[in-house]
Amino acid sequence: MIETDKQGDALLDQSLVERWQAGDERAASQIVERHAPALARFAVSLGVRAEVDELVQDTFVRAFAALDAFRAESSLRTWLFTIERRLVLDRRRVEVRRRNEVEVTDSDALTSYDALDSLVADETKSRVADAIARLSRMQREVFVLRVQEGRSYKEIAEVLESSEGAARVHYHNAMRAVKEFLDD
Amino acid sequence: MTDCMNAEIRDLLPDYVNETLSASDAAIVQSHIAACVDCSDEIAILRSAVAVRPHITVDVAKIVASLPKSTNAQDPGIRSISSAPSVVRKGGAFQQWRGMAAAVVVLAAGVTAVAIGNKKRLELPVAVVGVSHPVLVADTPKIVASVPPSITTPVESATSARPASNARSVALSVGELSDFSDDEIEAVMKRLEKWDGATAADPLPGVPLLPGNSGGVR
Repeated sequence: MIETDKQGDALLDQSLVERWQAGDERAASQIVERHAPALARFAVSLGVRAEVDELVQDTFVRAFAALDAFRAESSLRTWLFTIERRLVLDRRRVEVRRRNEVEVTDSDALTSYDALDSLVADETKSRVADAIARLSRMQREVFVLRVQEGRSYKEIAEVLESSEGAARVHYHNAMRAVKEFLDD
Repeated sequence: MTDCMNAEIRDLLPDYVNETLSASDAAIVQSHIAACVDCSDEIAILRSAVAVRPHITVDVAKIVASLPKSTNAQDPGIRSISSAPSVVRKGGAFQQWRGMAAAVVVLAAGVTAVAIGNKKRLELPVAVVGVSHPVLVADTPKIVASVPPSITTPVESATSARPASNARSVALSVGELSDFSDDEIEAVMKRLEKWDGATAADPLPGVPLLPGNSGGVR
């Protein structure tokens, strides 16, 4: 499989990173413009209901602080997804500790897609959105990265800090769950 | 809905929907889904999933403003000045010498005027060009100015003074700066570097350019 678009994106990202490292502050704007919408979408899939903007901003701040260490072994967007996911998990742990809860249930994430329902006119699309919202957190993250963000299993494994095989299994389980929901 | 048994093709379906497959892989998938109901259904689900992708507006300017600066970031104004080529460098060494020599001559002329005014002995730090007669500057109250008859340009403005008695003779000439060669100017500059300039009574080293025919320099 030749992914020329992704290769072009990777080259452009690398060029922007190098320009920023050389002191060109305009490159930072272009990097944010290119990746902020995807990070916002992924934040929603992670169950973030409020302050998506703040999460995306914190992701970029953390990424740019460590951008000198970015080696382009993975794509910049995959790297940003990884940082964002870690931020969400860190916050979740802090929140759980604060509320003295054992864990955040998957149902917490439902409202993020519920809010989108009004925007989805087509019934089939609406049902697909419902089905995605009902996936387990891991299945939803993998499904969103694979389908909505077009990431490869290798990249998904990097974001989830898991294996490529595990990412593939999560994806196919997610697809089966969506089909079952639509069949009901 | 059931799953197609062709796992390899199923793995490619999300990439097919996102149009990130190569042309040959896309053609393979396309021919497969034309005959596979399961994969056709899955493609429909995937298209719907892409269509319901959330659209969230992000304030890019606010994010950019919060970012740390690059370690190499500089103020644009400062950068333009520091990276601008030096005008002085473009002039070359000769022009630098000329400028410095002109400043030295002006300084020397000023020192001379003060020294004469104070009636102290002074040897002027001036190069000699085409002069065959020495010029004496003495601390005697009576100074006789004369122009040697053999002096020709460029030393028409040269002035000589002969003390009434006991004067030390030096070779001296004052000409236009442009009449001096680079070597002469450089020689003067080297000599001036040795002069501390502290007192007019502590004379400069003599000007070496004229073979002394009347006691010479030094």
